[in-house]
Amino acid sequence: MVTVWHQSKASIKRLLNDEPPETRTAHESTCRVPHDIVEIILTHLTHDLGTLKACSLTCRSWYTAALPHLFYTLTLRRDKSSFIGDKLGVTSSRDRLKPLSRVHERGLTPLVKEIRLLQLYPWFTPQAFSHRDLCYFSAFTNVQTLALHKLRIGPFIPDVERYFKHFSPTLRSIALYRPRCTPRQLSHFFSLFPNLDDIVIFGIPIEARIAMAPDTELVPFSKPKLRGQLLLRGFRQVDVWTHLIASCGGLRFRYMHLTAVGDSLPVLFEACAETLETLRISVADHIFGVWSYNGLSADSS
Amino acid sequence: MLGDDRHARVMRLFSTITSPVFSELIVVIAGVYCSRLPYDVSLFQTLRRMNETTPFKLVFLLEGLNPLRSGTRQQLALTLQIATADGLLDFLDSPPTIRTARPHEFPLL
Repeated sequence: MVTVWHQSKASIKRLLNDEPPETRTAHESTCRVPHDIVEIILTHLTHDLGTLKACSLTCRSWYTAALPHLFYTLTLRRDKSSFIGDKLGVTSSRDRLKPLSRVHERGLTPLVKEIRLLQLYPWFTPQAFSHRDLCYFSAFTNVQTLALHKLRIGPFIPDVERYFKHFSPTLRSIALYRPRCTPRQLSHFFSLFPNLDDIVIFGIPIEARIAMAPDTELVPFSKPKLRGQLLLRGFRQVDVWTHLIASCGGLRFRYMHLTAVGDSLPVLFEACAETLETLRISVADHIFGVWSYNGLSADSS
Repeated sequence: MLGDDRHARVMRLFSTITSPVFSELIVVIAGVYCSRLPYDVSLFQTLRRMNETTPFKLVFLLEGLNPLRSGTRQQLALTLQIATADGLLDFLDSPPTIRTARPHEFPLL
């Protein structure tokens, strides 16, 4: 850093004296900042994409260092305007999944470690994938985390391996917000990922409320490890866990954060009785004077 | 006060934990509840029984937008001091810890 400062100071002095610039390029100068120092700086900026982008424009070495952070997360989303475009028939599946091709064309696919799906209106279905989109999607082989908003698992089930199997070797964590599926479809989906450790589920699976066609023929693909974190909020589907326990030989979560999980509680406690390290429960705010055991009560909400 | 049935239910659930590595119980406290905590003797009684069943390190977690700014953390610290002085937490091997965190939200929302 001192060297860089002295070089910068000399450059400013030459500029003020109207002297010709030094032949060394800015790139060569900044390369003198040790790579691990640059890494430390950029690590502090991982949640500040704007600053991270600015850093990546500094020079080639900073660009190279910033790339893995910039493309760590790929977000697939569709806003209201594109939904209207769909209604009008002017939005194609390529528009919806355009980020896949953009990342692929830049050769950045291996850098993506997390894929997020946001859908205010359901669009992420097998029909949304063209052959090329599916090729691009299948190229994400380093993804460790999936965060999926309102995923409709049912339409994928007949051919779910085709769309998600490539995540199997690396996927460690799944976060689902109001998944649309039956409990058995959900446990079947989890079984696709043998290295899955963490599960986060917010909200009730919408289609669990209505009668569904029996899906007893679903055979689990593997036995996920499930030895990390389990975070459930408002997810009361006991069947998911009983299916998982039956088909995958049990649960081994070490950290459980449970809020309003209903009758799942005894099942989860029993399943993780030998592995649990940390239990996190909530005290409800609105029931004054009563420890409601929001997490430890079937009738708390 | 905590009903006997609920207390029994909690104890029944907690007694199923046989993990030799179980070490931490995190109780998430909402801000408004904090001031009522010293008066909730049943909470401490239940915690005591739970600790007798399976010893743990107790953590009180404040979830909120900015508990540091609102002074809730200081309030909780004071509350726990009172509870400790009253002997409500004398079953713990080490004093309870206070942590603050943002509420866990789904990453996309």
